[in-house]
Amino acid sequence: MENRKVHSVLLVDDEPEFHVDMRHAFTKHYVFEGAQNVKKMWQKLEELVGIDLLILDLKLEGTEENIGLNLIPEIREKYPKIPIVIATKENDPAAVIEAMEKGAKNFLYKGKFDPVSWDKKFLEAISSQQVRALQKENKKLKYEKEQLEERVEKEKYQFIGESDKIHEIKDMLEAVAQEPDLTVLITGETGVGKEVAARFMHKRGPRHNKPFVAVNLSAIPKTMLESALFGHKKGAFTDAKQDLVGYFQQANKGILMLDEIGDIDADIQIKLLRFLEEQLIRPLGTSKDIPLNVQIIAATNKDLHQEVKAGRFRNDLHHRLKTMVIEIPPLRERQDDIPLILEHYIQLQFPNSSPFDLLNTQVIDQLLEYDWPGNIRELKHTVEYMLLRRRIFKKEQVDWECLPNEIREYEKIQTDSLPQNGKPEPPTNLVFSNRKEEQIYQDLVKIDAALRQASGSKTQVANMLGYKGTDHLRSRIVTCFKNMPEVTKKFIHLKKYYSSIIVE
Amino acid sequence: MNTIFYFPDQIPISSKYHTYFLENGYQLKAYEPTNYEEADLIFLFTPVKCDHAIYVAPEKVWLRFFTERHPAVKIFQVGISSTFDRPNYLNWLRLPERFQDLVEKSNTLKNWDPFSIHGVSLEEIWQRFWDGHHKGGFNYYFINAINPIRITYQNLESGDSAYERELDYLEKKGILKKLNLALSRWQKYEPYWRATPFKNRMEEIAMLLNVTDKFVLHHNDPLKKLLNNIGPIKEQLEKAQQALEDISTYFN
Repeated sequence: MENRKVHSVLLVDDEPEFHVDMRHAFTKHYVFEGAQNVKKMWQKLEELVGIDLLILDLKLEGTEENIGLNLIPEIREKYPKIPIVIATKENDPAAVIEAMEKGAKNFLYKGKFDPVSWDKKFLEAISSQQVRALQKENKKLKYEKEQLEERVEKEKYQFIGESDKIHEIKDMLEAVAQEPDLTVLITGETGVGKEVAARFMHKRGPRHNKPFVAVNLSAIPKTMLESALFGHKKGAFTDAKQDLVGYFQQANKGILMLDEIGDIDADIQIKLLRFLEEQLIRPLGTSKDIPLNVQIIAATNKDLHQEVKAGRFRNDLHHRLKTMVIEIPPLRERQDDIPLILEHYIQLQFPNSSPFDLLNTQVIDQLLEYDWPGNIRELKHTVEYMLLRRRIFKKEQVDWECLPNEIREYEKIQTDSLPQNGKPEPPTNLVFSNRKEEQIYQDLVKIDAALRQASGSKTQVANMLGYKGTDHLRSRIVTCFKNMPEVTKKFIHLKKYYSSIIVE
Repeated sequence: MNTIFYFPDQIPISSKYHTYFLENGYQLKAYEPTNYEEADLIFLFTPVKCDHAIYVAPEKVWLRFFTERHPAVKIFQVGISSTFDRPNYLNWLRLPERFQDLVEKSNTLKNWDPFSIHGVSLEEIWQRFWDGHHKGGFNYYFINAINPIRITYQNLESGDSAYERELDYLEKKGILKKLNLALSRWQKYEPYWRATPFKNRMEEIAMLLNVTDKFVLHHNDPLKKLLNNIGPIKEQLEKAQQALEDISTYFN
């Protein structure tokens, strides 16, 4: 009792005697402010900060009417954090019930002043208000959490775009989503949104309330892949300290997305093929097959046909996978969608802003010009990068300085290499004999400039220019060299970094 | 043998009436507030004359009380007028040949609609006593006496306050004056409560209030006397308040 907090109370009562009694009775744990009429009450409510409790007499202004009853809703609306306890001269249950219905926390019968029970009533009213405030805060936090989750969900799985290509793909995904047993292969460059497409299907299909498990096969060490996919029994191998439920079982009745399917070894390919044929898996260290009902969505940025030809991918598995192929186009092929995607990622951080509020026009032009070799993923990271730089440099708008180097440089590539009509200007002694040669020349310009920009990182160049890996890039350079060896030799960076291909 | 209680209990009843009712199967007895459950019928001789030579009409208070306490009883208003021809009215000067016929035609309490023959209603008198005119009623003085006594008692009991502080508080509150005024209001109206069916309860309240009067107000240092005996005084006054609350429902 001794360490109790002192609460502040506003007592609204037109009887001066009651004010005196209340102060005298509760002086130890309460500080009183008084008002003897309604006008004074509003004045005090406005002036005072931190009122913990309001005690309101129902009969005010010298009338016999319960005018306090009509004040309760208004006080509750304007000062929802202040609990109200009413005081009645008469033992009037009807008025008490009405007051409680209007939001009063408790009541005092003034005819029977009871310091002990009244003190409890005050504390209960104050603490219930605090609990209510906490509940409200919790509710608010919960709402904010839901909003955040929704935002994250939106960010991860929204298929943004209004271009014809995207509409076509969305229609196809909608249709395929209605086939819960169909194996689907999604292809496309890195960063185009293959997982987004898979989740889009999951949400719209009959398996929407079942698991969706996405696995990046190239991110799992090869020695662990079989166990991760199919599970194992304790003791199946040296490190198998306990049973493991693999991704296939985790996805039972739902969808398993196998990303980077083109990167898996032959033995895993066989097991996957078996599953696709028989819907059975056998965890490591067991001798019993487990039947599962899992829809497979495979994805790759590789050309599986080429992989089959090169002997790295099983033809029968390829045949099984290519029943339904959906190709997601790179961003540069749907440039109309760039503004929409840009707006989407900006609004994730600034919900009420448009790109024109936060980016200057030079930057917008450049972003629309850029060819986005890393596709949507690159665009997303670019937005985050630019907005961060804007904050660091305390700029009102993102300007040229905030752009990543490769995008700033991109203009240089363009201005250095391209004339006003946007086509590469051939050396004066070079005349293209056909469209193919012109295309080769354009590609070489881009590759050389990118090599310079990426300081020779072939992986980065492949990503920047949308090649399906370094092999694909190398293969393109070989083709260029075969077709136009003299022209290819003129590019300094190409010669430097691909000297084994480009022989003097 | 059935029993008829008559009220006012001191009203003279001649032997001829006793004989008449005995012949009709009823014994006549003066009303006893502690034995009211023995009554089959109650004769209310109204209006009731009180000490102040004022006639009061207590019928509705009796109706409320018996509806709650003894609903099987039937109440007759008894008078000497021949102009009232209605159930539950008995002309004392012209008794029927067969009393039972009148009883059979009479209403139970549920259907009894008492009418005022004459006099001020007891509810109205209670209202004047209780509320007075602008804070002049018994309730105002009583509450403003008993509440500070409760507060002081609790403060001293919990050790949250000093004796002198409480003495000062009670003095500033004018506690003695308020007690005195409450008591004088009570004494002024007390005769009227003799017209109620629960006059024994009213007498108990009077005793509880008068203890304070005799014990405190007539002492040479009444405030200290009050403070030194605040526990028992609070108890007495709280009992009186509870009893007043209990009976007040019959007046409203």
